[in-house]
Amino acid sequence: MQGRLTLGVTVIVCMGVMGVADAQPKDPRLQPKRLSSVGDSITEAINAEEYNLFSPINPNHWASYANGYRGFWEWLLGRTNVNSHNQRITSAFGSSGRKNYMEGLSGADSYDLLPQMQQSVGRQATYVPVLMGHNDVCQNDFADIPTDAEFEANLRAGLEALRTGLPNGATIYVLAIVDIYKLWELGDELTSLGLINCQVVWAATLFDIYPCGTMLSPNNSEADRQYTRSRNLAFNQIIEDVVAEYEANDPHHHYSFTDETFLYDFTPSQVSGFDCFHPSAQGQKELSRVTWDDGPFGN
Amino acid sequence: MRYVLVLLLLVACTRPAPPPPPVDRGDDPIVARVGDEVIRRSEAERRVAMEIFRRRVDIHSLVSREVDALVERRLLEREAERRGTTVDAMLDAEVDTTPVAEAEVDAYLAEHDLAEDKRPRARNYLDGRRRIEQRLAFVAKLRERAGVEVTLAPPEMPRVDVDIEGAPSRGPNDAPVTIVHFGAFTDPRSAELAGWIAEVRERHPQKIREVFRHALKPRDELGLQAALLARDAQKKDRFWSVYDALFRKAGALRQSDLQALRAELELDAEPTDPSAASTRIVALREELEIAQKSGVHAPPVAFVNGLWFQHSFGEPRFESLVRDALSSPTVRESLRK
Repeated sequence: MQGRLTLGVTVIVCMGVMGVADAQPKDPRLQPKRLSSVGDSITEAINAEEYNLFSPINPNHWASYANGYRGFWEWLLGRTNVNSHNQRITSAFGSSGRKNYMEGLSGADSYDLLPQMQQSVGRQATYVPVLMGHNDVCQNDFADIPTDAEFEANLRAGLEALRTGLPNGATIYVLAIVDIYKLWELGDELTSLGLINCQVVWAATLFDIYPCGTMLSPNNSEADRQYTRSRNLAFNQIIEDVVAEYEANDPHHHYSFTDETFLYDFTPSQVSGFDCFHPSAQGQKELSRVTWDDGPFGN
Repeated sequence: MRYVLVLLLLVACTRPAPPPPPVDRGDDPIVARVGDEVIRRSEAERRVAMEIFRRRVDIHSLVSREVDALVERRLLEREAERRGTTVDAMLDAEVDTTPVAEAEVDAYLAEHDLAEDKRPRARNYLDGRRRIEQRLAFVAKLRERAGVEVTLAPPEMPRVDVDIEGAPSRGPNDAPVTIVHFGAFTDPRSAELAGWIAEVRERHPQKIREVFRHALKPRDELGLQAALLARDAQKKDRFWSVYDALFRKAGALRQSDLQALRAELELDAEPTDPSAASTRIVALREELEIAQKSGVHAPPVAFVNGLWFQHSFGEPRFESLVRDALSSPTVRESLRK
């Protein structure tokens, strides 16, 4: 009886703290001029178009779907213009008061959502795109992949920090984890291009030099890879459900989710010519396009 | 006799008939005319063949994935129809959803040296993998029984007509094999590739022509200065002196090396006037665009008679590419002349 009462009180307190669904209108949406992206190596655009043979992890921030920009070197070398969220914001809302922060870090996973989102709070961001979870499914061992409950707890901890810390009217845009099985599939086709031998690159996962053994290790069976994909799908469902719940219950902030990142059919030229796995600058460009168009500031 | 003279006069006064106008061939249409000359589609395509090839591979990839999905769907539907059930019901019947035994989880934890707190994750994996394996085995059995044959072929690697106009070259201009090296002077792998090219040139001095094109590494200020120095040297016909000297450093180049070389070759000092400096950068950028157009996104890359070679393939592959080029029928023919 006491347990049931405690549960009832908890539910009432939660509803009070978070507000009740359709009961209150939302605070007006702020312009997304203070961008603070949360994520991992995909947000950092690792190995997108520029790489160094002696280092497996080469950030290409200029090519990030979220924070990308175009400067002197990008112009000189004719790099792909990714038309990132950052560029689109300047184009749509002007350059005054613009801030472009990247909290994303290669190797980050759902356990880093809280610290990265706390940084976004510190920036007083008005727009927080989130693309995280690839390193939850990309692990050295299958038993390192978090359970649903662990993943959900991490996501909630981060979103709670945003809910209590971001300025009212800020937008949180959470993207589904990219279908990493599809990225793996492209390896054979990249090898057929004759530009890189993906099997050799991925063999490095055996020595933990290169992450994502649960998808890329040559020792994996097809069932192993499809198991990893099933975790990919399960985590995306959690993201969708939790984001919908926050959108319904928090009257002060705007939350959106898109699964376009998962559904997008990457092609070989949209995958890094260095590691055969991360999106290339062309891939980042497409990520930017599909997520912006489907997002809160898109068409 | 008079008739013969008249005939001769007539022949002499008659203008030779103009050549027939170029015709539009279906497989290689005319895409532009410059006065009497025509440009065919193939001429333009050969210059950007690698980029076109990449797009063809993209299309092949999309189609190939759909072919696989269609094959699997067709197999499952046919089998479900044969059994008089639905695909979902059939798969449910084929896949055992009983959880794996704890002993199996124990064995996995022990084998992978994992702590007890990983037990729920390990169980997730073992349960999930078993179900997937059963489904895959079932589909494989259907494939084998049906005799599936996929005839979709991937596109072939093209021969690129690399734009070498105005590029420095050495070796006979009419050599049967042309190697175009896209490299950066600060890049040790470009230096290594330069060494491989030197070796094959030494072995076949009359048969190989070497051409160099700049392809910078990102954010490489020293590489940018080295490329500008090489372009200055090219104007004074000293390009290959710079090339050999810089690549001898095997990528360990310093600012002082560039200054010393500039002095040694009596080249003008770097311009300090911003407009002159920017003109040089813009000219270099035009050259770098050729790398982009040829499909080179990072140095070093070589084209051996138009065929792509990247350093990571290694020296034996490079040598075999050169050997193949030297023994191709058209090359053998030109060597006989």
